[in-house]
Amino acid sequence: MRAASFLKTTLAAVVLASSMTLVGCDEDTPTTPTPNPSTATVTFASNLALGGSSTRSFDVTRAGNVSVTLLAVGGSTTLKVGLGVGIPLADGSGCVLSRSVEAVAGTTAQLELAVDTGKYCVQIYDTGTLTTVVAFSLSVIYPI
Amino acid sequence: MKMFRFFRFGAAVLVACLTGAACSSTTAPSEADSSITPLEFTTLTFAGTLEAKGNGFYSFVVGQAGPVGLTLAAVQTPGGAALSIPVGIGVGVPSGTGCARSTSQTTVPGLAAQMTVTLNPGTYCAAVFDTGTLTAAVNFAMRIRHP
Repeated sequence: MRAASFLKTTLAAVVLASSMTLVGCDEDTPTTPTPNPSTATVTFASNLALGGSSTRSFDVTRAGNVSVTLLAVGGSTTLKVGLGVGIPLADGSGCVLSRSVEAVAGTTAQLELAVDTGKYCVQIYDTGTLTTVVAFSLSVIYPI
Repeated sequence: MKMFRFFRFGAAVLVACLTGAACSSTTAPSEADSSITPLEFTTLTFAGTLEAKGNGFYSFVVGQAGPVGLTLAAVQTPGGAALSIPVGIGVGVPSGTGCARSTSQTTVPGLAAQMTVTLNPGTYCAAVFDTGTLTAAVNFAMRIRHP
């Protein structure tokens, strides 16, 4: 009789303890972190003058990679122009290029680099190959 | 006997409650946690000309203790062509007409901070210097992000 009572009480306590433990730990179920894939794409289209340059700035709100694709320039796939990414000077007097390449129009990013949060600029410039003003179009993909 | 059974049951329940409490570490932050002030950052651009075997520095004031990031964003020819040559960057305190660097490293330009140091409130300087790679003057631009 005494043993039965002991077992009954212990069993009740164990059941209660188990259920409360499960309830207490229920929220700790591991979840898979979801990466933040947010990026913004801007298309910059204008004209590039002989011996000139054209610049556009953009804001990056989280660290990540910036990629620049020269989509079209003067309707040619062989015309080389300069393409660069840098930081705009505080007084708005220009874009100081961190990295630059000479590129022809294509569909694959010609320039890709890691950036921190901040304001940046992309620039296209004549490297001496232009004989006249040409239209261009480029896209910039950056993290936001 | 009844009393004994009551205490035994109570002890088991207590264990269960304590176990539950130990697992509740994922609960939302309490009100006291919300009093932590987020750091506010200022970004400066230090741009100039670096001569061969030369150096330059820029002073700035850190208002709150926290991370200070230096980004050597660009090194260029005087004509504006981006260069990928290494130069020295560092952080220190203004000393006389110079900058006494406490931390320095050699780096190539990029757009992600190459140096991050934690500083207390005070006046500091960010330096750029030739480590022996320059044969002529170059232009540079450095970003300083500090709290």
